Amino acid sequence: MNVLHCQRSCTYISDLIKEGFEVPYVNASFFGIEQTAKALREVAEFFGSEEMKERAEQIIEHELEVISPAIEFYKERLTGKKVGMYVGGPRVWHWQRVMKELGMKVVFGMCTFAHEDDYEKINARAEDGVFLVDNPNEFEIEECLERFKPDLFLTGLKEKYLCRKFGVPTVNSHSYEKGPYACFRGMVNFARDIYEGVYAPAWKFVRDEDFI
Amino acid sequence: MTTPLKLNGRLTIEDLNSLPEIPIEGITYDQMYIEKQPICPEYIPPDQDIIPSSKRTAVIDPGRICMPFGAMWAAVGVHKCIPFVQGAQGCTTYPRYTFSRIFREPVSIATASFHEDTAVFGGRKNFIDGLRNLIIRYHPEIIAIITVCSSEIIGDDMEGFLEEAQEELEEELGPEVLDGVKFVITHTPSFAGSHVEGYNRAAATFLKTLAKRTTPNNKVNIIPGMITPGDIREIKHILKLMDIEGTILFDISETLDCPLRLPQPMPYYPKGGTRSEDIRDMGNSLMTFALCPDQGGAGAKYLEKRFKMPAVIGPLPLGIHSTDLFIKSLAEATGKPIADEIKDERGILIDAMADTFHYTMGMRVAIYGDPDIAAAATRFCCELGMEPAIVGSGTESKQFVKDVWATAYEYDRKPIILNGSDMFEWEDYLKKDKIDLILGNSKAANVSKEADVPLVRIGFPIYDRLGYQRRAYVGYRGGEYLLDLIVNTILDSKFPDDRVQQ
Ligand code: SF4
Repeated sequence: MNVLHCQRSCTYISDLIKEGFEVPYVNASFFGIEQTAKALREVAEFFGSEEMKERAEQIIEHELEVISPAIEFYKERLTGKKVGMYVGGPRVWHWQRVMKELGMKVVFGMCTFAHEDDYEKINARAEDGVFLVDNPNEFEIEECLERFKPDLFLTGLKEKYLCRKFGVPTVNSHSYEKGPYACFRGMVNFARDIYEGVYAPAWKFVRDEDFI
Repeated sequence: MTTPLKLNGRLTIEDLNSLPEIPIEGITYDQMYIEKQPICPEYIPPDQDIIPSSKRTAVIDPGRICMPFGAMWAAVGVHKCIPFVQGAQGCTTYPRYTFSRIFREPVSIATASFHEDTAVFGGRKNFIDGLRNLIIRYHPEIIAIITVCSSEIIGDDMEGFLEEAQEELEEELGPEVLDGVKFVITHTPSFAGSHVEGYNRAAATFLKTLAKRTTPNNKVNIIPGMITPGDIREIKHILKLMDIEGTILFDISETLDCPLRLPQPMPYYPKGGTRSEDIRDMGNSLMTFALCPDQGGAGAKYLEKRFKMPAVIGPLPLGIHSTDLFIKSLAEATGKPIADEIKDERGILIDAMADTFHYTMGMRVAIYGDPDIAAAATRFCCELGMEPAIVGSGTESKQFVKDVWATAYEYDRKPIILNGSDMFEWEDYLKKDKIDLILGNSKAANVSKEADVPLVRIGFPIYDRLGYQRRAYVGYRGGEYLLDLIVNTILDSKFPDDRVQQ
């Protein structure tokens, strides 16, 4: 079987492999606690082996134990913070869940190369009122920052400097700041980078009224 | 229970798996042990037949990027100017990525977003639609139209398209709106040259389109070439000390190195950049200095031909001799005396050279970069008593060879010169030689690690370290900074700890 993490471009290849070689695939996201656990369970389920299922449960239980003190630490400090994101299609729908696990609230989402099914999935997962923009230009990003005043913007290298100029912290969401971000332990790195973004002392100096 | 977390050590996969708890800071890079296995146990030199780039059709590790990038760089140095790239998205995305990596600044560049159908039917529709959007949303003062490989190959008639667009948009938006925007077209088919030529062409087209002659203004024109914002500030500092008014075309000092201050204008435009009225006024100046002959020389030559304006083309004022030449020509052109402060700055650099020649003299250096910078660095190395052994430029240039030979002759050196060659060839020479130091850009970092020769970063592009874009290398103070870098690197790598404290 194939396990698909990137569910945009890889879907096409996997469909072909399935058609041509009868190799099936499962969709799985390895971002966030809940999704990683689900991915492990589904893969075990596919093979149907009891031993594998048991092993998956063991791994999940162990990993949760190992990471939960750190995750709790960050969740406490990040709960209620607002996030905007401009990443590839699948990340926009996968990270809705991840943000929730950290207690954060997604206020807007943007993608350049998302297809219709990405938007369907985003719509299904997003809370009401999440503002979505397809293929935004820089001006539209600025407008969203102005309108939603997010505490953090998840975006890539080319846009992050623009957001910072408007006083909004960013985390490089394509190639990461200090990754990896995937799976259980990666989630701690992700939470740490988000925390560092939101709480960096620089932002408080920017907003000092006397110097505006 | 003992924790296997070795704070200053590395964690293997086994260590990681047996951690009872992931620390708050997560698993940081310095704790992760990533085993890299070399493909073969020792270095196997490549087949000697494929070493000379002239014998190959393929370029390996190019030391240049594509022509539109140079033109975009130029346009980014103009106030409220947006480059409009007549080509596919990729021709814009990667330059933007490069700008962001080097300068850590936002850069707005528009694209006509070519797709398959554009390649068949031409880019006229995308062009006009794009201009319309840009004008309505961004209110730019100048739009720098920059072509790419594809639009040049399909033969988009940009001049014709622009005329059509102007007519159409004038009707739609009104003449006032359209009169507020100027258009400069630069043709940059990348198969005909590199970023160096792109900048050069933009220098000529901006001046051709915008510079006018009215009344003399007693200013000097400076076309800096692709040097850092810090360099441009240093040039301004020199002009100020000499009490000379100058116009710098393309002034990236306040567009690619900007303060974070709130509130910001929307859409975001940096406050700096050469003003369009100043470019217009460049037709009235006393003289033009193109600091980099290959990057901007064409602009100076145009003004010389069109307005009989004297032009000084190169050398880049880096190190003592070249800065001396620059200062003397400035003084001659304007009749101003050489300021005392400048003589002091020169003296401080010479003082630093006198204090450090025991470290620098005799060091064999390998240099790689854009032609103007590589030539300038070669001369400075000679001034420090170093021995330039291999000097390579990523872009071919006759001037580069001439300049390096002149320096070599003067200082009785015999460098190997690689003109317009790739880093693969340069690397091979470096590995065969006994080199003490590399002067080059970030692309030389891997070679430096592999060959275990320390690297002093200079030139374009530097994206793997912080702050280099803010520093000046030109002028006497820039020389001082470069000297510090060179000497400190030598101290770090060539001297035992107990010999560096005196
Ligand atoms: S080489 Fe040509 S096609 Fe490739 S990015 Fe540069 S301009 Fe575009």
